[in-house]
Amino acid sequence: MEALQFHHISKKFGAQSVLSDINFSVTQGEFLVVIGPSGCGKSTILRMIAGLEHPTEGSIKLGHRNAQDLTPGERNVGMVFQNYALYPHLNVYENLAFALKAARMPKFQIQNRIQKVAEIIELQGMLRKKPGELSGGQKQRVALGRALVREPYIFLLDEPLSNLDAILREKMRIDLRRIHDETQISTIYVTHDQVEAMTMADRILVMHNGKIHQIGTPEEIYNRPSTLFVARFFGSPAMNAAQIVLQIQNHQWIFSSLHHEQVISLDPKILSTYIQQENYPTELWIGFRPETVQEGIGMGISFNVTVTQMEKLGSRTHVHVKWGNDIFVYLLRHDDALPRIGDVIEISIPYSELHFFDKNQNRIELHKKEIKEINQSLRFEEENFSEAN
Amino acid sequence: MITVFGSKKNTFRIPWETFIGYGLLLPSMLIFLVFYYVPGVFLAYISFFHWNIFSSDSTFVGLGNFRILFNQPLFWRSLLNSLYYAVVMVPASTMLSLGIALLLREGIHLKRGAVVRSMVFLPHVTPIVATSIIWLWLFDPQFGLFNSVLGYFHFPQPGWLGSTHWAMPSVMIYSLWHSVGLYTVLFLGALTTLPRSVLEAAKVDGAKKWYLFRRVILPLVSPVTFLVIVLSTIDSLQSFSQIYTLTGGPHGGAGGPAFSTTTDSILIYQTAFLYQHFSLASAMSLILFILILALTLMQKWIADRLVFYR
Repeated sequence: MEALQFHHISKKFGAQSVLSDINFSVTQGEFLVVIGPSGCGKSTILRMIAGLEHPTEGSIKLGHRNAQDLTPGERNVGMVFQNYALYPHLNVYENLAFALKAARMPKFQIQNRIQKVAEIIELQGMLRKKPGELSGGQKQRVALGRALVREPYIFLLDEPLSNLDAILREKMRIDLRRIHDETQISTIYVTHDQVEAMTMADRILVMHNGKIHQIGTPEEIYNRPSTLFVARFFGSPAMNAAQIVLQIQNHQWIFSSLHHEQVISLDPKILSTYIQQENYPTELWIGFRPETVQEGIGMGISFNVTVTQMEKLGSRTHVHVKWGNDIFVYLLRHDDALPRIGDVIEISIPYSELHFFDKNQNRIELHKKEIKEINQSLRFEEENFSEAN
Repeated sequence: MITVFGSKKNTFRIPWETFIGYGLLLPSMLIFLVFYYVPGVFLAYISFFHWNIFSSDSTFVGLGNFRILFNQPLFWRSLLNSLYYAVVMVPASTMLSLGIALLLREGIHLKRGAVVRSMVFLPHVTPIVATSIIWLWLFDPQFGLFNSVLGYFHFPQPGWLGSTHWAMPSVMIYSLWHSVGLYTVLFLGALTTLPRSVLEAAKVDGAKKWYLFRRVILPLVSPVTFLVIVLSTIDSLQSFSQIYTLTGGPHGGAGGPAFSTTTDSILIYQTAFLYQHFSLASAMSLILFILILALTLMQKWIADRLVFYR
């Protein structure tokens, strides 16, 4: 069943449009991560679910109830705020009991609930302490407990780990996912951290400038990004991208950079579906991830580049290279031989690792079959070449 | 290398900052010394004498002045009047200003909100004597605005300042009008700095208006509530100008009718400047001072147990 549905939601603050035509749904028990850069509208989505903001257009459904008819309190959402938003004058126990008391739950029942939650998130020793006496990680757990103790219909987390240090963040990431798996409460988790998204999500919703760019599993998002933005948002270092132009000269396909004179050798078959469209724009984007780059000529596309910079990170090295005006990055393992700055080298990327985006930065789908065919013909040529020698 | 005056052996060097610090404090210290501490100590001193400001035949009488006061029914009456005034004024002005501040906060985002906020604060900056004279007219039993309005709706028309029952409440109404603006601004400041996310968390937690107010807003503004209670206690026990102007003014009879508005400060003034009993007035001032000090310390003691400081 759908735990939550957004139907054509738009939100404007005055004249400024924050969200436009947002549609998505969350199934019961799902862990959805909403990700995007600051100001993309992801927190607004969360606040709308909680009832702290109201959509300008469209409707939100919580199960089969219309969210618009419900006050924030009636929606039974558990929300964890970025700055925890604990009641500073109440101790941990009273913080947890706040919502239950507001709902006039009997005292013994409140005690039972708090006992149970305190065990799950390891709060037992600090129930009498005030928020001011707790560390960041402890506050975070109390905020989590306050949301959990209501046994909410849906769980909303607004960048809950962004105020914690790296080690604690890693631990909380695992804890959060464990709590979700134990309670099976539908969860919407807002973050701008791609690692959190990739490691925790059942599905990821990627936002940019108030629009949804892609919804999908972490694998889909990483392997088949639907826009150049998504492609470059996930992965570190980010995906390499360059603008290219398709031209036909003397019945021959030429792929060249849009911004400089460099040319690439690329089998046009790979783009056959795109080229078959009428009046396709000749400008497009080519993208490939740093970890798929090989040094030297391999099977696939290759670039002639100049090494400009190297970042040694211990286990690996990021090599920055220049292709005309375009900067690419690729990875070398620590035991690989390093090139020198100024070296002119050849790098190549297998056809299966290439991504193409049209002029509007939307993904151009390549078909596996085509790539396979190209690979086969290449292998054939190579064999012929070696036999001839 | 920079050459410095004085040798390294000189270990008794007062840092330059200390000089600047005390230098900057000096003017205000002088003002307090001349206008507060010296007269204060002098006041305590002469309250143990039979003092004559026109000659030097002042005699030490020990606690004689206090004995006279304690045997004087009017002194007790004035203390009771002062307490009556404070006991009504402190809760009334605290609650009223908090209420107005809560209402003003609802409209804090409105364009004309700033205008309304200034209007609420405005009475506090008016001179007490001048506005009291205007209120004298408002309170006039025959021609005043209040009785005209009440009469129009066929409500009973009190005698206001002319009635022994209504004289003190009349003064209180004026004082509320004059003082509430300041406290409202203090409360409004506290309300606007409440952490927004905490209020939102309470909303999500299902807190209704009254629950939210009682369990979140009230505890979080408690430091300002304490400040307002202390300020209004001190202010109401020291109130003088409005009582003086409203109940008789320079033509005599202030504190009337029939001593119903004779507070401590009115009696002190009359004793000192009408009857020239400076030592008696000083003794009364000393008692008033001790009373205010005791009340404030008591409030502080209570506040330390109730107020939540962030």
